[in-house]
Amino acid sequence: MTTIAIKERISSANSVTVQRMMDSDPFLVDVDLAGKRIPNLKSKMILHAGPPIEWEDMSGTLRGAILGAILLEKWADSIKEAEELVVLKKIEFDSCHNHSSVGPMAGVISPNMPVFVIKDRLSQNYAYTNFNEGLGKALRFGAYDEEVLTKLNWMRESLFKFLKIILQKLEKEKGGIGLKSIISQALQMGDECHNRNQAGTLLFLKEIMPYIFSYLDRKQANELFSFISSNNHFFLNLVMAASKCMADQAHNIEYSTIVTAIARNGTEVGIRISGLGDQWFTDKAPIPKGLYFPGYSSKDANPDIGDSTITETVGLGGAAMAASPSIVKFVGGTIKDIQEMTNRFRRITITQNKYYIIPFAEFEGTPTGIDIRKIMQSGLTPKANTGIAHKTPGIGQIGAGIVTLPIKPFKEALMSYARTYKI
Amino acid sequence: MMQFSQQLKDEQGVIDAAIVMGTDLNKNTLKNMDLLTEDGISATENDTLISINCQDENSLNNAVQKAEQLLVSDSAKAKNEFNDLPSALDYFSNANIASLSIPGQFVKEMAIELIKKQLHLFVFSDHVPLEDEIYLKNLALDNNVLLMGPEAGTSILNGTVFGFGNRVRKGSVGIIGASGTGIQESSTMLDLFGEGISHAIGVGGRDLRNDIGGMMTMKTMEIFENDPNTKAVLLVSKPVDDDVRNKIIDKINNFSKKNYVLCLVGDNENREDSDKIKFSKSIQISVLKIVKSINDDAYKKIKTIVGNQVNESIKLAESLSNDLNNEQKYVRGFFAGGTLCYESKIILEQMIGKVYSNLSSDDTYSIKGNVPSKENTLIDFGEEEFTSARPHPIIDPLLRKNRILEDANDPNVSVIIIDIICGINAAKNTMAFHAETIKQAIQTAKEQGRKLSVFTYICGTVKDVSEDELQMLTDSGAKLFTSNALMSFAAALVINKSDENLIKKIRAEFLEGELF
Amino acid sequence: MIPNNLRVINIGLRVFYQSLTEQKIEAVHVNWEPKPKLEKEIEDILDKIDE
Repeated sequence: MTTIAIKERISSANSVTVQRMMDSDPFLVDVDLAGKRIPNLKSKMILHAGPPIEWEDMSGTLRGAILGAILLEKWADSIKEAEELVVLKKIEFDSCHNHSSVGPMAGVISPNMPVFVIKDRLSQNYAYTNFNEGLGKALRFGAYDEEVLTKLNWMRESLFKFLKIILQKLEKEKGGIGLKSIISQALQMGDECHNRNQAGTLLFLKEIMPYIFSYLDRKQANELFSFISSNNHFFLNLVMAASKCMADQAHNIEYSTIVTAIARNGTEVGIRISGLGDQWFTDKAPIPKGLYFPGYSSKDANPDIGDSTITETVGLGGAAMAASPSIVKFVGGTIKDIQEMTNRFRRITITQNKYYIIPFAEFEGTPTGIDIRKIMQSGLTPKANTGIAHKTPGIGQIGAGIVTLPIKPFKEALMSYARTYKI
Repeated sequence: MMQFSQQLKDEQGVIDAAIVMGTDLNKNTLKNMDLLTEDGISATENDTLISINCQDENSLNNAVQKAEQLLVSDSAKAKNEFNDLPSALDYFSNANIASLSIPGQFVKEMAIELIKKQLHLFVFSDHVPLEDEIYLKNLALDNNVLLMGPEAGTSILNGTVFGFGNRVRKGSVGIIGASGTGIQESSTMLDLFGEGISHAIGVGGRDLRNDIGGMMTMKTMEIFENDPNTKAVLLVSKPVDDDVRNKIIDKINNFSKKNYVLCLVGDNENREDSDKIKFSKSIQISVLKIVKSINDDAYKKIKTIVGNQVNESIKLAESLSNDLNNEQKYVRGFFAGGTLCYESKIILEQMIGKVYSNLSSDDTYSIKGNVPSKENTLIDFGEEEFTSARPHPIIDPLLRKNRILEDANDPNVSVIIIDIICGINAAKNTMAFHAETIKQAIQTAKEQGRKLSVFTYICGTVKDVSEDELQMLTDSGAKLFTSNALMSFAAALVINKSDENLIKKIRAEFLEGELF
Repeated sequence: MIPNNLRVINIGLRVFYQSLTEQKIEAVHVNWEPKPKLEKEIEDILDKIDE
């Protein structure tokens, strides 16, 4: 193919890619047990955030979460037993991404965990994610003590039940909860939808309120309401699943150079490219640069972990930082970091989002459609605001900061692209 | 707030510290760190807790003070610094000038963006490719903005200095300079003579070549023409290509109501002055002529003073030459200002014969700056062989100091001449530094049984250089001159007793003007 | 043509930014860095597929 011809092919492939990404229309339609709905989730399989990884290579945070999940599933009665199971290779692991799923931080999903079921109205395809446990000690930070497991059991017994009742009615009456609409509004209310989800959580609550009143008893309503309102990150998982829907829509388009997944497993960070199929391109996960809670420092930090960078992949999070000035102080920055972050994303993306508009940024759409060509040309990789976990399982979040993705995965993706398309 | 905790922990004597809001979660964390006190326990979510564990009472008091400071003051450090241009433009959307001091090959891309945003440009960068300069200057004209440079060492706009420059009085002379130190000497001299400048615009060393055609010079001429504060215009440059020179002269004659002085350092021709246009081969004479054009009375007084200075320099030179031994034959000049070195070379060549220089176009007398001096030698320390690896000599005088001391050791040297550029962005304490160097140089020669003369031209106004600093330099043994031309003239006389006619010629062409 | 109130963006040497603020001029500074030098292999690929 001539140079002009290939450039045109890429241009139109990329155009289709971002259109499909943006036009995807994810709706929350149900909750169910992971094992019942997630494709190819085997009976002794545990899903995790980031690219595929074996136990030997896992970091402390991920290991802790997996051990906790094994206990939750009652596949073992003690941590020691759980470790033996793993070492004897009795448990299979795979990336959430390979099963239409995403999860924040350790992102561990096991068959008996309740998950949100998200359906894309455009393609009828699905995405799944777990329920967010809330602040403090949590499985997603690698904690697995009594407190954590008790809460997870309550979530499975009660939270799941309450949401099931509500969503069944909602889905029948309204077709479910439109997530894109909530996200667009949240962006205009101070959320960037990765590290700040307060507005999204509130808007979600508003949607389900009538159903809480109509279909739950007082005690149940109280429990549900208390849980959601004390967790400002409740909506994060839903944003992530919606983003996963959009990214999957944009995936597998021939010749496309657009990034359709960015994910970290606590040891490696991996990316996928639309035109390169399911191949992961990886590099060592960096330690985020930021501020630590009193008592902690970067020596204690687990390398970057979580599927939450699916948000940056579709024009949210770091790409939408201009929507959330208050996040800046939390990650140790200044107001001008916002402009720099936004400009950085503009330089590596191909379009402005049709639906995600930021008033503070002159009502421009967020930078969307990360192009590996632009990344290699400019030397700039995506950055994200993120939480920082302790590397020892069980402790939890120890800070927050900004992580700059390494360039190696993008470079390797470009080289693989050249081989694949015979450039 | 976590930033503050970090900063507190860095204080002397602090073992651990935290500044947090009094939420339950935070209180728990403090408890785990042994930082939770009675007060802390009873704090509410809206209270700010400052908890510090210190080695002793003193450090505690210090740390508490610091904590309060942190909570009150705004962290303004690096508020106005950005990592890329688009962010800076977003933040500072009504910027009207950009100053570029990045490597030359990167200037074009940045400049295009800035010109399109209607910013004037000051381009200090050197090694901007010629094609880029032509392209950019055309683009700038199309967009009605100024491009000062490239390789502009100096511009002074409304009294604000860009690059190197001096604190010069505001006044009615507009300066157009194809030379940074040319602008510096002429502007400071005007200030010394009681006059001042409206603006000094650097147009870059190549603007007056035929291939650029004087684009920015012409533009600046128009600006000065329309500026009510500018009464007369001084153009300072090395010799200009014929076509461009004629274009400028035509433009002045046909379109200008103001008086012009064209200072062409190194010009071979003797050009005739007209009503509107005066010519000059030295900076000193160009300043005298422009003062004459705006204030004849002041000119008369100044001319007398200058004449006296010249006479005294002649006497001084004679006396100094008598103190030389037979071996001392040569002058060495080490310059931070390229045009000053060049002017000096012109004068010396007329008075003592060929000089070796790294500015020589003549291969026989061309010498690199970083090899030992040969006979009469003048070196420009702003040239490539020095600045490729180090900052400009105006900022960093070390290389020149070493050379001064090296040549002070040379038994064949009679006089060393140097320019000391002061003012904005010059090395801090440059006067003290040079005084020390000169003292050492003279001492070295003395110990070896020689009288070494060191002449200085100090480029600076009273706002740049204090009385104390001048005294320091005099005390070092240096002889101070009020212009580069005068310093060079005096040095030549130390080397060679010149005949009356030559002295008259030099005074007429370089020092005082037509009356000689 | 020459603005009365100078508002300067300084790109390059930090000392120039400092001297502007010392002269009480409104200015911001850009810490400019050159774009990373691309490996030949990458540059070749990009030449063929990048706009």
